[in-house]
Amino acid sequence: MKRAVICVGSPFGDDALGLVAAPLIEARLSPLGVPVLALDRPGVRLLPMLKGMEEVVFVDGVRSGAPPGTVHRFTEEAVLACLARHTSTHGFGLAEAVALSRRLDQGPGRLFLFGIEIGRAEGEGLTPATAAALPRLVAAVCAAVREGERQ
Amino acid sequence: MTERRELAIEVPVLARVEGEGALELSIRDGHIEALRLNIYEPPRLFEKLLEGRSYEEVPDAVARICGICPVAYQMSAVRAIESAFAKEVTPWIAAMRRLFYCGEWIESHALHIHLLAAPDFFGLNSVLELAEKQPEAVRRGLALQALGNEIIRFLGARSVHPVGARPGGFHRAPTRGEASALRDKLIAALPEAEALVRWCGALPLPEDHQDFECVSVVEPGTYPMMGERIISSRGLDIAIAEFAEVFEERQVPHSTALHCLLRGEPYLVGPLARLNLHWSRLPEAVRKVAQATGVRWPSDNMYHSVVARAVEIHYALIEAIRLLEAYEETAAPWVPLTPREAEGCGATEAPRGLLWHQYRFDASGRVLRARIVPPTSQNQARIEADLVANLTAFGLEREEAALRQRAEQVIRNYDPCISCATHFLRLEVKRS
Repeated sequence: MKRAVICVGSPFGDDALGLVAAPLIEARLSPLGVPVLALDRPGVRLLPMLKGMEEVVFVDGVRSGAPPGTVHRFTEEAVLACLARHTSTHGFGLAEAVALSRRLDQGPGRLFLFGIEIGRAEGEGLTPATAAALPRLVAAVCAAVREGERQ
Repeated sequence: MTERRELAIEVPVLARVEGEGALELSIRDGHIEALRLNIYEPPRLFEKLLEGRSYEEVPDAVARICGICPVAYQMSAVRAIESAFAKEVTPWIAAMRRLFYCGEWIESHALHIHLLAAPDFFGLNSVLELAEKQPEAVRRGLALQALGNEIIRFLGARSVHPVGARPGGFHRAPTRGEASALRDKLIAALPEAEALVRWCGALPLPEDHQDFECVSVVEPGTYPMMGERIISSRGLDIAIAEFAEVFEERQVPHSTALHCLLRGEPYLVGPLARLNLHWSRLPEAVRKVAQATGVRWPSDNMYHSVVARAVEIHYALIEAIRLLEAYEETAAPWVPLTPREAEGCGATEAPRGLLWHQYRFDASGRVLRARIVPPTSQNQARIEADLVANLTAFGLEREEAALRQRAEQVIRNYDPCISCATHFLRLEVKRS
């Protein structure tokens, strides 16, 4: 099955979650040969990465109002519910990229999003709550990918 | 005196542009009394941020100004640095910079045409809706955009904020194998680029003829990407170092981007300006397809800028193939530079138009002063002049929603990269 883990993040504070998590996930998934991609912006450049994918697992920081450090697992319905009213290219995010790719029949087949409820997204390094939740996130992503493997 | 009736429309931003801003429109007795394109993102402080940094850091720092046109920023910067340190690059480096630039024109123009501009002409709100009505066109556009990114990666190691360029050249020369693999992909995409030009030419574009001065760099014997002189459709012909003497950057209270004027007047930079000035320098194959659209080039209709972008994609593809056909590996992808106390300018044609950089360095090569004049700030005064003419002709008595939509279309013709120029559209109409 053609699939990938796509981790999204920026260099700042807790928003770096995807970039910090990517090598940890890659190290654990390397025997399965599932590519783990890290991306500093999720917009239109996601499209070539989604093309032809049967399953994509996204990893990103989340702000939903839950306590910081909460590990989230969202289904594709929840991800696509984030579709913003399309404004500028700066407003073209992960949900828009997935929706456009699907509309062009370019995949992905299935998708999930794993994330941690993040704190501040400025400065350097993860906040203690996000850092403490990171091993649980990595374990959850790897378990989901292995689960997909068995299907 | 009529009582002033104020109508403030809370529409979330001018849609489908790069960045954010607002438009204020005051209509009195059926005439436009004031029209201001407000730019309200904070000014970019890049010029100050570069002060005190080594010339070696400049290309990677300026690439961060824009995620869509980082190559332009890098190329204007490295040329300014080399001009300050009086160093010429090799023909290999000059050719690869041109190839690098082809990638950026293809990527940036394809993004603009499909995600930002085209939905207007089908009466649709977004590329998501366009993808439903015209999936083949959107697929083709995105494939071309991805190909542009691939060219950038060929030399820049990655397509977003590429890191392959350095003062003096490139860090690494790709192999011949990589070059021929890329060339084959580009050749396969040629029919797609031709079809794109035809598709853009067939869009229902309004007739709107206006009188404006076109400005771009000139490059002897070829369609310009990087040059030493700047010309205009009204006889301007200056060395790039004379830019600041002839073009005046003016602070306006309503915007954090500077307005740039030529002899006190607005002017146009970008694809339509380039095509109008350099039509005869395009290869026959490109002109033929562009002519077959029925558009008469040069054109004084700003709506033709979307067709001009498609023509430039076609051109950039042919030019990139030519450069890759002739590709040879080199052991010297860069030339060493010796810093000295000096000033230098670089001017290149970013996808959106002329991008001018000037740096003053100390003896060790540290930046003492930097000036960056992006294309969008040069087009701002022209956009305002266009809006006044276009909206007046369109009919100021129309409803706000119609006026806003028309205004957005006009602004999109310029593909303003608001995040470069600092910054898009809430419409406020005041009628009295």
